[in-house]
Amino acid sequence: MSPAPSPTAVEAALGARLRAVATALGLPADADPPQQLAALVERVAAGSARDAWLAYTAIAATFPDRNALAAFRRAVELAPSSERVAAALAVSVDDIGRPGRATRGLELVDDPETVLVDVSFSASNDHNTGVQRVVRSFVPHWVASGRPVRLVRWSPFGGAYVDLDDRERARILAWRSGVPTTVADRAAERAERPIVVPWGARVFHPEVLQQAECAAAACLAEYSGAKVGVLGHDTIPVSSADSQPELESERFAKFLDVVKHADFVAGVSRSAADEFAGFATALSAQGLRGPRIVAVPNAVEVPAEARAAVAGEGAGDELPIVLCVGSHEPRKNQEAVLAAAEQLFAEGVRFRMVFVGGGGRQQTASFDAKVARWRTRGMAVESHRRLSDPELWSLYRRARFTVLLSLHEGFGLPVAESVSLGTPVLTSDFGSLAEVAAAGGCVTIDPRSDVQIVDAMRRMLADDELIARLRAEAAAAPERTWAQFADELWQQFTADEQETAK
Amino acid sequence: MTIVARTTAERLRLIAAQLAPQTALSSTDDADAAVARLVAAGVTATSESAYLVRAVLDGAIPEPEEVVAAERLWRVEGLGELVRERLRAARWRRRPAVRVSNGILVDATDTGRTPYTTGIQRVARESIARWPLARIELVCWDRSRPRIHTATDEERALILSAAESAAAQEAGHGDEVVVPFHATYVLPEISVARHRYRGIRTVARHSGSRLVAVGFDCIAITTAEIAPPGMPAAFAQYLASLASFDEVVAISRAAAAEFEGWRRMLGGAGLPGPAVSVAELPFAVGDVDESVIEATRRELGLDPALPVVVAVGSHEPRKNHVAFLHACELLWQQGAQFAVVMAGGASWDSDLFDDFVAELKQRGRPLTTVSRASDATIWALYRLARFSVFCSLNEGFGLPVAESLASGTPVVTSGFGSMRELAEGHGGVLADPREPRSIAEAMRVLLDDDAELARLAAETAALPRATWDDYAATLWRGIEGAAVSA
Repeated sequence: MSPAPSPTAVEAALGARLRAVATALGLPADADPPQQLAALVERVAAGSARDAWLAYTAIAATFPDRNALAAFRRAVELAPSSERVAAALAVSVDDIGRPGRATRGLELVDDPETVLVDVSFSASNDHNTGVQRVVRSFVPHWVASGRPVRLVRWSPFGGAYVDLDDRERARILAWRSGVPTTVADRAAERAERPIVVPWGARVFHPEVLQQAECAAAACLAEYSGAKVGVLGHDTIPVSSADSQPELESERFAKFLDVVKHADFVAGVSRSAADEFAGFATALSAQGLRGPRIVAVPNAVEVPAEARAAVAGEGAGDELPIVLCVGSHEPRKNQEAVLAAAEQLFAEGVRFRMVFVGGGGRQQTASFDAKVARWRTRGMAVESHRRLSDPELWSLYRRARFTVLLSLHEGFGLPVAESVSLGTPVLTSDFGSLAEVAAAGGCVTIDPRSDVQIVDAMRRMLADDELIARLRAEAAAAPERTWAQFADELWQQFTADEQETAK
Repeated sequence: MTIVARTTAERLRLIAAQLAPQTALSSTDDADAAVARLVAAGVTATSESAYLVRAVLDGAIPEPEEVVAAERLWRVEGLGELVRERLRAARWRRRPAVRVSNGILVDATDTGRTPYTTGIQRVARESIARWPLARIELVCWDRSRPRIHTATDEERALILSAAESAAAQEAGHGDEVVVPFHATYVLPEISVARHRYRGIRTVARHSGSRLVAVGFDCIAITTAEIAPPGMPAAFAQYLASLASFDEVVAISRAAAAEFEGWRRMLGGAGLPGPAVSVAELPFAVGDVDESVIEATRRELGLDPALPVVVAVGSHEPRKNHVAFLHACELLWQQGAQFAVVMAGGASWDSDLFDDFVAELKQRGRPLTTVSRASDATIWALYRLARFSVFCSLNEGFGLPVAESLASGTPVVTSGFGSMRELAEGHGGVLADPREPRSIAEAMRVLLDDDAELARLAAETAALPRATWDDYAATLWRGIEGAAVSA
């Protein structure tokens, strides 16, 4: 435990924060702190929720959630005028009293062009799947092309945004050039940084927030006047809750509170955009219009080394490979693919069925046991939990086709990657997967029908002409780069065709 | 004739009667012989046939994934292997009697277990009582096992009145398992109990039945920030079961808008979701005469000189009582003269509300809270009030708005959703519930302006009022339509 900050330091920090917001609220910038505090509290008593949001943030060095903001306004409005300052301080003391907060500085970002990009998770974690890959792919383009962005994260001390330190920036902007270790970060994170407060600036959320941050982020979206944008990956935790751990559903429902008060959502596929549009429709019951929603489909860029691997190897005369890539969970429907493979094997069709993807032991144990059992019966089937990238790229190259029959995806990256590498795909006939498939190189079916899966796999194994046609389609499918995605997303977010009335 | 099966042979006959009714199994057939007859009759593996075999042999509703696995086992290794697997699994279990039903099953599990009347239970009881009881089967899920049983005498007594109970089909004993197959399944409740929503999901996906639910709201998802912890996740699971229903009958246009929005969210999973229709809830207030009103006034010690403002609703964040009290205190500080009566029980997270009430009482504000009020007391309160306030943040229906207006008492309520639908043009004043000042302004008008109050009171006569008879009949048409087309 670090020692408690001295009262002088706390007072000095409060004074500095009050000065930082005084001009924005039209209060005298050069008055002494007690006078500024009194003027600020009078402003709150006058009733503007937006002013109260900033006043609370300055006093408590913390973004309020709705309860804190309401309690603050209530205390100030209902106190006799001589006791208002004391009431305001009493209500905010819970927040400011938390470790690390009382001596924080405050920087106001009031340039309406500036976008604060909340990359908290990707900046502070070495995890690199799904959402983090998207963040690390497009955010560097925003920075490199000189967009007025400021990368922020929720402070390690909680409650407000701070700038990224060098290691955190590297995790976003230079992921490939070496991964900083998490351990070294801990010390860096101890250093206290001034909080960064949007005031008329924009805020963009390319990640789903952690549950603890949702209430303050939603309050910011509702009351701070910031134009808030969200990258909508999917709504799976609430619209396909049967495929998700309950904690994920709970967290996502809280995140929807941020979406509810956001100005803008970009779905990473038309299907994802439509899911968010459905949520927005439901908001009429509580008198809200919900965000403006557009589709900005994800890009697909396979690394150069993948293409090299694909181009480099020649095909052997081995069994045709059917490749199924994806984390192992019920939603991805690997059980159905395995069942279809078993049936085809029983019919005498010969091919090599390869599953690749990690998963919890609980999910994978019975599946792997089943795979082992079929191997003893002579079926060429394998399930890899860990595979290096070069090994995976090589499989993509040698595969006759890949199979992704997920029951719900926001985008369906493995389909897009397979097509991009020229390998045909068998995928689902709805949602984002059907969208990706429409670009060519794919066969689509109902993934809930075992019969359709068996029939389609049988056909794709037998019909060389079909495969040749799909390969040609895949080769001709248009490329979409992350630079394109980044530009389109920026334009959509910053072009408010109309004032979004909340 | 009701066939109840206990032994393996009886169960196989039960399965045969559904899948191959023209094929009679002999009572001397063993399992292998029975399987051979079924296969010879052309019975094949589908999700419905696999569900039936598993549910009947297990004496329980399987998980959705178990049905899929059973169908695969059947298709790849044959029905005999599936039957042998289930018999092995059931070897040591107690074997309840099993009945397959193709009829109209009404699932009133929660209503059959609680003597309390929440809004949901009122809908279930009032509707069921008006349906042709000889044509429905009242069923409940077991407390923790994935089994459906015919409602017992105890459960039935909580769902129906004694007279109705006599008219209904025979009560069950709770140990007879009902397997819905090509049936009609009616859910007039919300299910957030794990074994029940998972079981209902199986019935919805795999039993070949038509399913109809009453749709109350999607508040736990659309207003998750003020839902009790755990409720959004549990509700999302309930919705995942509702996704395979055929029809959801929403209790208001606002609730229908929520379900329509949710249905659109299912597109990414390739699910069409249920058709959404609306049957607006009925409401009624009982007659209370002047003596009851006066008695209520005396019991609560209300000053006859002060106008009374009434607020009804359980104490939980969504009902927004703290903002209402904030508005009241603003007015009291400005010198407004009125007393407040708040009727409603503690629900969850009511500490802030309780503290605020205590603080205001300490300041001497004329504020009375009533935690357990009978219907008659509530109706008397509406009658003695100058007006009522109900500024909830989200409601599927908003019964306190309807009941106030039905009592001829104007109401200050939220300017959106079902509350607005009920109040606008029928004696309501709309406010922004998120801004206490907006609530206070609306209250100020009704406190000061007698002419406006009278005008609004006159407007309440225009409130459209459905009856429970209408409501139950509308639901029944939906159910019967479903039964006919199943």
